[in-house]
Amino acid sequence: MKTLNEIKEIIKVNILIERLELEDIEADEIEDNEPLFGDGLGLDSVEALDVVSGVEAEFGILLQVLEEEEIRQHFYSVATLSNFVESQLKATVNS
Amino acid sequence: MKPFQIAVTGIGILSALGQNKKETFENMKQNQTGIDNIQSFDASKFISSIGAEIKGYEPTDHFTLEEQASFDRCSQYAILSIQEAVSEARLAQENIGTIGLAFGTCNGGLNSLEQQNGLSNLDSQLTKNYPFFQQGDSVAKHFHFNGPVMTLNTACAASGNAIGFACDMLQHGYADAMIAGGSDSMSSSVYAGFNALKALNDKPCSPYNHRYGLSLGEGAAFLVLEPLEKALERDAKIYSVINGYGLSSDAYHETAPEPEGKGILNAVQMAVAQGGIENERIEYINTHGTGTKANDPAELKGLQSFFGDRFKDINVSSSKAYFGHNLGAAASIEYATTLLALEQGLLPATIHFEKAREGCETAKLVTNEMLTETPDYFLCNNSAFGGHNASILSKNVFHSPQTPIFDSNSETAKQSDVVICGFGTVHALANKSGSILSSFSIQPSPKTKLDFSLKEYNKALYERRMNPLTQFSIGACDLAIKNTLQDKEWSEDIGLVYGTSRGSLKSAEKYLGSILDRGIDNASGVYFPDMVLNSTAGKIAKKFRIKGFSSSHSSGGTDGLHAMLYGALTIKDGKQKTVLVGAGDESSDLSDEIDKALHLTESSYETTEGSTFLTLADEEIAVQQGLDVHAKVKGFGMSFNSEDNLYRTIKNSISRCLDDAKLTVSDVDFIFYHNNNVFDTNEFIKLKSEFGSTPIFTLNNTFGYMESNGSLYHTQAAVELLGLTDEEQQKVTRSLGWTKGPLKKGLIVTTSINGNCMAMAISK
Repeated sequence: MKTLNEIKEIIKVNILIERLELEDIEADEIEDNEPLFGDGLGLDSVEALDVVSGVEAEFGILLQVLEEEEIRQHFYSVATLSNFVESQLKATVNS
Repeated sequence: MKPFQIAVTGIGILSALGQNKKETFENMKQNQTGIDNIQSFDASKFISSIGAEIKGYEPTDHFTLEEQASFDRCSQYAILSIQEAVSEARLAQENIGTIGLAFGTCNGGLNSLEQQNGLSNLDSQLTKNYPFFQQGDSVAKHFHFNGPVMTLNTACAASGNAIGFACDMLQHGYADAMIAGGSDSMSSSVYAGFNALKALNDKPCSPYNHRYGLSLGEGAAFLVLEPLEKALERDAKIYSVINGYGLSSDAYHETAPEPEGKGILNAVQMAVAQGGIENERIEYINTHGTGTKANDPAELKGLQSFFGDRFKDINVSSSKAYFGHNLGAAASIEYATTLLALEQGLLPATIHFEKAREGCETAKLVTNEMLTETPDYFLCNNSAFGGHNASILSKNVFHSPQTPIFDSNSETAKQSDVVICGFGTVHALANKSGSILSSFSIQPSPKTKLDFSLKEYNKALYERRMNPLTQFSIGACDLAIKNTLQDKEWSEDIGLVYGTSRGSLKSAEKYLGSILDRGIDNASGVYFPDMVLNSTAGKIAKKFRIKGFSSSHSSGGTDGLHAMLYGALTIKDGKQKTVLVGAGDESSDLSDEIDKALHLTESSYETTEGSTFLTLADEEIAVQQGLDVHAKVKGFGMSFNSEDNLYRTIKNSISRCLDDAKLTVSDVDFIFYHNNNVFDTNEFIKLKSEFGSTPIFTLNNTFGYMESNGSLYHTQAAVELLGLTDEEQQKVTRSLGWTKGPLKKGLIVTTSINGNCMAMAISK
C-alpha cells in the first residue's frame, strides 16, 4: 500500500511531468493545492482525460464508472486527487 | 463564369453493410446496422469492443499477391469502390478525356505501419504503402488517371473536402471527370485513441440519442463527378447536382467542436452562398452526428442559427448508426447513401433511437425508419478533429422536375485576379524576416539543419508538446502575415490552405510509441489528436483565428503548388478575399525510414525541413487595402504520370499551365524546378535542353529537398525575384549565371516521387 506522499509523487512525476510532458516546471514546483485546470496548471479537456488514463494505469484502479461531476471534484488538485486515489486503493485492499 | 452545376454520375460503396451500393442500401432500408463485435484485433481491453467492420473481406478475392503487397487496406477499399463507380458511369467505354482523383483519408496507410509492431528497422515494402499521398497516388496509377490527383487529409471531413476540390477542378476546366470520395480501414491504434478520449459507445451508436458515444467504422465510397452539361450531353445517369460547397475552421480546439456550432455554420453559409438559392428550398440535412456528447448539440446549434425558426421543420438525420463513423470516408459514404435513398423517394434515418438527448430535442430528427420525402435541395455536413468542417449543397434530381436543367444563362460575377501580397519562410537558410533571397547564390549546402524554436520566436504562439512541424509552420505563417500587413490591421475573414505530405511524424512516433511501450489500452490521449495530418493546419487556424475556407492535403512533392492552386481558386470563386497558403516538412527517425522505403535517400539532395507561407489576395482588395503586390498568379496545369512516361507528363502539366495562363513558351523568362533527383533526373536534363536559353533552375542543391514545401519555397524565391527592380534583379541573375533578363514571367514546376506533376505561371 502506497503512502499519500508516494501517491502525490507518482501523480506529479509520472503523470503530470512525464506523461503530459509539462514544460518549464519541475515536480517540486507543483503545489499540492494548485488547481490542475484553468488558472492553475492550465490543463485542457484532452489532458484531463489523459490524467484519468494515467491514474488508471499507474494505480490499477478503474475510473470509468465515475460521473463527470465526481471527476471534477477528485481531479481538482494534486491534493484532492491523491486523497481520492488513496481511498480507492484502501477500498481495493479491504474488499 | 458558368454557374456551379456538377453532376454525380456514378457511385461505388464498400461498407459494413455491404460490399457494393445495392447491398449497403438494402440493409439500410431494412434498418440493419453493420456495427458488431470487432474481429480484426483484440478489443477486449477497451471501454467498448464493437465497430462497423466490412464483413467477410478477403483481399485474395479481389487482388493478386503482387497487388496486395503494393496496396494498403485503405487503397484496396478505394479501388473496389471506384471500380463500381466508374463501371456505372461507363467511363472506360466513353471517351471522357482528362480524369482526376480527389482522395479523402483520415488514417492513410496506417495499417501498414501497425502491422510491423515497431518504429525502426522497418520493412520497406510495407512502409512504402503507409504515406497518406500514397493512397491517392497508387489508386490513380491503378486506374491510369491522368488529371489532377490530390489526397485530402482533413480527418473526418476529408471526403467532403475531396468532393469539393473535385468540383472545383471541373468548374475551372482542369479535368473532364473527377473521381472523388474517401477511404479508411479499421485501425487498432485509432481505436485505441478514441478509447483514450473516452469517445466510444459500448452499444451501437445512435446520434442525438440519450446514450452518447460513437462507433468506429471502416469503408470507402467514391463518386464520379462531371460538369452537368457534359453529363447531359452523353446521357449519363444523374444522381444529383452539386451547386456549392463550403469549408471552414472552428479555430477552437484540436478535438472538440466550437460549442455554438459556429464552424459548421460558416461552412453551410459558404455552400449556400455559392449555390445562390434561398434557404427555404433546403429541405433535408444529413448531419455529421457522431453521437458524442460534444458534437451533436453543437452541430444542431450551428444549423439552428443558420435556419432560424424554420429549422424545426427541416428533416435532419445522421447515418452513422447504420455503418458507424467511417472517418475519412464518412462524408462520401453518407453522401452516396443519401443519394441512393433519395432515388427511392426516401430519407436516411438515425436508427437505434430511443429519446433525444439534452440539446437535441428541437430538431426534426428522422429516426429508426426511413421517411418518404422528396426534398428539393439538401445539405451533407461533416466536421473533423483539427476543427475542419465541410458542407455540400445539392439539388435532388428526383424532386420534380425529374430531369436536371443546365442553367446556361445565369452567368455569375466575373472571376477575380489573384495576387501574392506577402511571404515568409522558416528554414536554415532564410533570414530572420523570412526572406530567402540573400541565400540564392550560396554554393551547395553550407547549412541546412534548421534550428528554430517557436517558444523563442514568440512564446505566445507556442503551446506545450507542439511538434516541430507546427512550430515551423506557425512561425512561417506569422512572418508571412507581418510581411503582408506591415503595420496594417489584421482581418480574421481569411482562408487557410495547407499542404504536408507526412504531417508530424515526431508526434506519430510519440503516439504509436505510447502503444508499443504501455500497451494498446493505455495509448497517449494527448498525442492522439496529432495523428491526423490536418492537426497542424488546425493549430495554425487557432493561433491566428482563421475561420474561413480551410483545407489540408498531402501530395508527396507537389503539396506547395497544390496549396497555391486551391487557395487561388477559392479567391477566384469569391469564397474568400484573402487566403494564406502554406506547406511544411519535419525531419524525424520515422521520416528517415519512409525516405528509405521511397528511395528518397538515393537523392543527391539533402533532406531538410522548414515551412513557407504566402498570402494570396483578390487583386481589387489588395489594392484597396494598400497591400504590396509582389506578383500575380496566372495559371496552373496538373498531370499525373499514368502511362509511365514522366517527361511527357511534365510537359503536359506545363502546356496545360501555359494554356490556362494564356501564355506561350516564349513568354516564359525562367523556370524554377522542385524535383527530387531520384526519379526525375533525366527529365530535368531533357527539359533544360528543350527550353534552351530559358533558365531552368532548382534551389534544392543549395537548400535541400523539402518534399511538401519545396514547390512553395521555389514560389517564394520567384516572387522575391519578380519583386525586385530590374537592376537588383540583374545582380541576382548574374550570380546565378543567367543571361536572360529582365524577368517578368516565370513558371514553377514540380514533380512528386509518384509522378504527380504540376506547373504554375506567375508574373510581375
